Amino acid sequence: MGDAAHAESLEHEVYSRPFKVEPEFEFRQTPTNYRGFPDGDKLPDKMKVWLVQDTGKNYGGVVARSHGFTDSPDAEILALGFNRGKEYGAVGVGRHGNILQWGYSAPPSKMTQAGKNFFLNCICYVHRFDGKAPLVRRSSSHRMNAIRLAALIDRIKDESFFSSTFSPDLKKKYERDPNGLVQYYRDDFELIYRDRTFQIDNELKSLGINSNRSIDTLERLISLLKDDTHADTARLLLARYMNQSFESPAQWQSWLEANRDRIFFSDVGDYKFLVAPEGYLDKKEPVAF
Amino acid sequence: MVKSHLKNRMALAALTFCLVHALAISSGCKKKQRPEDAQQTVTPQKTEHIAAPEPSERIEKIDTSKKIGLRILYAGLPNTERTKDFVEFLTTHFERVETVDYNSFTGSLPADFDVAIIDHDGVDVRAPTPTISRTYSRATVTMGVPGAHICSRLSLKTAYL
Repeated sequence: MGDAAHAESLEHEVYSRPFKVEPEFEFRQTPTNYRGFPDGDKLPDKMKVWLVQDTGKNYGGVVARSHGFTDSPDAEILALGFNRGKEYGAVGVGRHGNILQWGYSAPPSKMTQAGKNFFLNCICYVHRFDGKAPLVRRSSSHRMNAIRLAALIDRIKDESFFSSTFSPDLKKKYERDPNGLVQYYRDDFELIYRDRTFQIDNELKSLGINSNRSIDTLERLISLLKDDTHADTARLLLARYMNQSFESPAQWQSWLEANRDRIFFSDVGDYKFLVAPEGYLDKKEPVAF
Repeated sequence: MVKSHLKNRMALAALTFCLVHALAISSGCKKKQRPEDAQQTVTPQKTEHIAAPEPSERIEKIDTSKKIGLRILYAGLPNTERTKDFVEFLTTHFERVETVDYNSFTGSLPADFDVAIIDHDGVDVRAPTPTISRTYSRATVTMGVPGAHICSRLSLKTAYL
């Protein structure tokens, strides 16, 4: 990443408090690397950006992968970095728990006025998350990577790559057909999970459930515990997507009711339904000026 | 003459009615476009966990000529132009700024600091990574490529890869 950020997320308070961030926008040619990622072909020829710093270089900084960045409520994107290595949407400035990563490289004297104000605001903003350690850690690969990597299956020669990505059956079937493998995962995108490799959840599919990350799915599985025909499958699936377990359907139900508003599903957090602790999502008041 | 005067008065009354009506419609439209409503409709999916911004009138009340009431600990490389640059800038804006050597930063942020900034040189992919505990929960800004490596070590979403 160089000096620029995409002109998005500007409605966030970090662009207005305490200093107003007033970027000067310009249009730049869409980086060719963006085209190589899923849906990259749909991007326009030029993209609106603003300069955070002014080093004149198009390298030096760093962006984080976008996929899965916001799949837990402890993380948020504050600026998309205009970059020449990763996908459009990769994160130039983002927060995960109490840590805000500023991906730009320059010291303040080389920041633009808008960049300086944004930097100051970021310092003030992260203070509101003091004491809020992250809820999840990167322990798995987001489902979008199944599609991204499927598109490369005919170009990767390293056998060890496949042992953690695609099952031997899929590799054999699609090794010369990347588009076929991409389509395979696209068709059941909402049912992708990881068990050593990227899998499609056929047990869930057999129950007529079309997503593994919806709270409705969790609710349905809990209700199926009372159904003799499907109780075993429901138990298996709850074990797959939950870190905790309860003896009786009634206990599951009361847990669900007590935590419903704070339950989220994270691919990055190992394809689990997790619960944000009570009060975690409350922010400290902004610092007084 | 009387007829013409009556006609004029009727035209004036009609014009006034139209103006009042137009104003009423216009103010009704404006009400529908309150900033907070607009924000709800344009919030992109990527920022769904971000809290909605506060009303903008609060911003105007802030006196930005005063220093910000936060105490900053800057962990950087001692005796470098970069550290000098940061400290000068931060001191202009924050109530208190102190420095510590990047290489000795362990994450034990003293209670009398509010935010830590961990900065090496912004770009070095081989910069040493401070060992910070996973239980560390103090408000912190990590900077550039070395910062992303710190995030990698902590298995954060803000990591390098």
